[in-house]
Amino acid sequence: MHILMDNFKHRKMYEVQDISVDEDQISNLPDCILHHILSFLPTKDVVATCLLSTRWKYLWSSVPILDFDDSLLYSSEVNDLYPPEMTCFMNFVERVLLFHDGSSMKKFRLSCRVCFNASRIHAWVSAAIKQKVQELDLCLFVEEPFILPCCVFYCESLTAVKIEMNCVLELPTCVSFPRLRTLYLALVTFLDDDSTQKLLSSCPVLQELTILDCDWMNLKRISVSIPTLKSLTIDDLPYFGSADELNGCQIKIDAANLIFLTYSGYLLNEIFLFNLSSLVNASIYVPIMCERQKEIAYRAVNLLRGLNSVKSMRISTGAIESLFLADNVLDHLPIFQKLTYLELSVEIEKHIVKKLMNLLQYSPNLESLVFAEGFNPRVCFGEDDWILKPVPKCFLACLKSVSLHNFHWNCTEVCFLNFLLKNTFVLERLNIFCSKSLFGDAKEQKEVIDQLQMLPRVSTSCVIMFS
Amino acid sequence: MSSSLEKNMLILRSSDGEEFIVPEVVAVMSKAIKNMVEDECASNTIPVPNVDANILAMVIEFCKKHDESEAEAASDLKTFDSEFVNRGQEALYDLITAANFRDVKELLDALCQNVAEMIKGKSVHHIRIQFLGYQLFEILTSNFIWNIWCDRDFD
Repeated sequence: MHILMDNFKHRKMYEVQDISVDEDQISNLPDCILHHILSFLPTKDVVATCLLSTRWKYLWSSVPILDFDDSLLYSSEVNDLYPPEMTCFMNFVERVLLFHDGSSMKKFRLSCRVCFNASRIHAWVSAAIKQKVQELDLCLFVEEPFILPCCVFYCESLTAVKIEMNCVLELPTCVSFPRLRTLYLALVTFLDDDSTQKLLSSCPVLQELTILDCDWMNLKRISVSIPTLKSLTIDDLPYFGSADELNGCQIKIDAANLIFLTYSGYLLNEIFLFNLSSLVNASIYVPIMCERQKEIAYRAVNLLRGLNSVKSMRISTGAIESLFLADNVLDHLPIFQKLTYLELSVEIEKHIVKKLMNLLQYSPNLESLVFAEGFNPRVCFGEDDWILKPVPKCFLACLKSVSLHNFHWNCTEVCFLNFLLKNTFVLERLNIFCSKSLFGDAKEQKEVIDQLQMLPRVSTSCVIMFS
Repeated sequence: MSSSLEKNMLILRSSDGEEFIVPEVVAVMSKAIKNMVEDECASNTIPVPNVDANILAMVIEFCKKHDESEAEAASDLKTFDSEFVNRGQEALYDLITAANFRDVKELLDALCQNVAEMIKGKSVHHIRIQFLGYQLFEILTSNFIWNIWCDRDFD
C-alpha cells in the first residue's frame, strides 16, 4: 500500500509542502482524533485533506467512514476550474476503495441519484461487505430493476442497514442478519409475502425498524414479530395504488419490548397490534380520506385499542375524526389508564372538539395536554362547543399542564381558555405560545398578557406562561 | 473538608491546582471520572492532570448545561453547543485534548464536528488559510478532487 501511495506524489504545482516547523494546532492532535473529525465529513472532503500537509497525507486512508454522494458533484462552487462529470465520481469511488485501508471501514454510505451504473455499484457494495463493514447506507435512484449483491443479505458484521431504492427488493434464498440492530427501508417495493417475511424473520436482535413509503401492494399478510424491537416507524402515505383499494396488506405487529411506535398513513394497509405492554411513546397520523370512511374508522379504532398501555401519545385530528366515524365507537375505545401526555399534532377544527372531549373521558390519568398547532384561526366556535358532560376525570384530578401553540388571541381561543380555567382543578401551568402574527407586536402582546392574567380560574396555583 | 461538602458533590482539581466543586452527575459525564467514582478509587478531590483551570472551567460549563437541559428543547442545546465550540484554534486544541483525555463524548463530538465544518465543502486553499494561516501556490478549488486526484498520473 505504501509503495503505491509513494507513487502518489503530486506534480510540482500540487506539491505538498513540509511545514513541520510551524505546524498548526489542529494538525498536532493525535490520529484517532483527526480520524474522528474526518468521520463527520463526506469522503470527497476527507480525501482533499491529503494536500494540507505531510501530516494529513495518509490520514484519509484509515478514516472509518466512507461516504460517497454524487449530488456533491453539482453542489460545488460555480466558477470551478474543472467542471465535473459522472465518470469522475465513479473513478473517484474506485480510487478511494483501492487505496483505503479497508480493515478500518466501519460505515459505507453510497448515494447515487444521478450516476447509476449497476455493475459498478454492485462491485462497490460487494467490496464494502468484504471488508466486514458494520453500517451500510445505500440511496440508489435506479433506472432499471437493480438486484443488490447477495452477500449483503447474509453479512455477519452488519449492525445497521439502510436501503432507499425505487425498485423491487429482491432477496436471495438465504437471508441472515445475526447482528443487525437497525433496518431502514425506503421506497422499495416488497416482492411477495414469503420473501418479506423471510427478511423480517432473519434479524434476531433487531431494535429499530423503519419502513418509509414502501410499496406493499404485492403483500397480503405480514407479521412483524420481533421480541427485541424497541422502535418501529411505518410511514405509509400512499404513492402507489389507489385509495379505493382497501384490501391492502394485513400487518401484524407483535413486539413485547417495543417502546416507540410511529405510524402515519391512510390505514389502507391494516395494522394489528399485539402485546405492546412496554410501549411508552406512540405517534399516530391518519389523514382523513373521503372514500371508505367506515372501514377506515374501524381500523383506526383497532389501532387505538392496541395502544391501550401507552404513556405518551401524539395524534392527528384526522385520526380522532376517523375514530368517531365508526358506529358506537365509545363502546370500543379502551381506557388509556397509563396515558399521561397527549399531544394534538394538527390544528383543531370545530367538529373535532366534541370528539376530543370524548377521548379525554377515556384518559383518566392525563397530566399534560398539548395543542401543538393550536386552533384553526379561520373558524370561530364559542363556549357552547366546549360543554362537557361529565367533566373528564383528568380535569378534576390530574391535568397539570396545558400548552396552546399558534395563539392568535381570537374569540375561539379565549372561549377555550375560559372553559379550561373554569374546569381544571389542579392545573399548574398554562403555556401559551403566540403565533407569528402576534409575535412581532410587543404592545399587543403586553395587552394580551394583562387580559390573560385576569381570566377567572379554579386552580389557584395555576401559572400562565406566555412566550 | 469532606464533612462540609454537600452530598453528591465532588471536587475537581485542575493541573494548576485550582479546585472546582461540581455535582457528581455533572462530573461523571466524563467517563474517566465516572470509572474512578464507580471503582471507589476517588477520594473527595479528584485530580484532573493535563487540564488547566481555564479549560476545566469550560468543560464543566458544557457538562452542566448538558446535564440541566436533558428535558429542554434540543434546539436550545444545539445553539449552546455551536456557540460553545466557536473558539480559537488554541482553545479548541486544549478542549479537544481535555475531552478526549477525560472521555467526555458529547463534548468531543461537538468539538470535532466543529472542526469538520471548517473543512466541509471548502477548497484546500481555504482550509490551509484557516488551519495554517497561509495558502498553497496554486488555488485548488473544491472540485479538484474529482478531476485531478483521479485522472492525473502521479509521478
